[in-house]
Amino acid sequence: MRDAVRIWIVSTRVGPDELARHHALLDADERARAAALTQPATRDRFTVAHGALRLLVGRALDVPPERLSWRRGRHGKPTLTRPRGGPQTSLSYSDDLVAVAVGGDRAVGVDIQHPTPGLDPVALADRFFAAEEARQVASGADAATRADRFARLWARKEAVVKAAGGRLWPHLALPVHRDDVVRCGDPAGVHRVTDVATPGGYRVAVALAGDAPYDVATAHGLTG
Amino acid sequence: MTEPDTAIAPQLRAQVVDSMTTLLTRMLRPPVPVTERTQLMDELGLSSSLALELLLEIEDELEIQIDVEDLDEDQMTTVSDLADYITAHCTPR
Repeated sequence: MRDAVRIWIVSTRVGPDELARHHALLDADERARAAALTQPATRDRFTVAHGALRLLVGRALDVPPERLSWRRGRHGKPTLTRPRGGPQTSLSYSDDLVAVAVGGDRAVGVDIQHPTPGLDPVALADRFFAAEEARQVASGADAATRADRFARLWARKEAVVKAAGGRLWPHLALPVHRDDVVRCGDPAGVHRVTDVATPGGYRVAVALAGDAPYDVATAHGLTG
Repeated sequence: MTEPDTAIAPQLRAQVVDSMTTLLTRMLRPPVPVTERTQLMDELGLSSSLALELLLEIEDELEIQIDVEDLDEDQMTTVSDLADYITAHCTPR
């Protein structure tokens, strides 16, 4: 049977009551991290993202969301430590959407990118990406296409690096534009990356450790 | 070339800090002033894509090239940490 990964795309634009419900699910460390963020919008997004992660993983495992624990690894990769033996999870947020991924035994990384206004995708790709990817971004017919191509490549790189538990910066030139099976350098390993259809101009990618194909099921909102 | 480097480094570092605080203020419009002690991710919520833009803008402004190969999250905790990294890992264009 093929492995499967479930992905939820959740809006962080919530009213005060829902925000309070998410906040009530967070542990002391998450609340402290939220409180340290100086921008109210960034703080609220963090709260909703981590609350949504808890709700969705708790529901998948039939465990109260506030009883889940994660430990952050060397490069920020979280591992579910309570309950032990739970699925691999990953979380990403950009602008006002959150992506939550719940997999199985294979390490998972998810990334969501909203093409950032003001960002110069051609200059960034030219400076930091492999030459072929930089050409792909630059050859987009208009500004929206160039921004979209950059966001897609960026999401794919981040998803692979997050699944690998590696550092992003040495992997900026990691080619991800053509093949779905990507070989990371440090830590060494092969990952399979998949583009996930997402509304509103966002780009989402998910990666699982190993080259075996897998199924992706996507839901929008917390009820999916 | 150790001697010129030690003479230039403090001046370059000050330029990096100045450039970084100005850019972060423009990009993120934080409600409190950005200082050397400001935590990039934990206080400003700096995303990796904005961090990439920040590095590119610093490179353009100071006419340097930053080697990102050795960069990791520990060296990006505060403005001061990233300024130290950039100063030690850049070459003039």
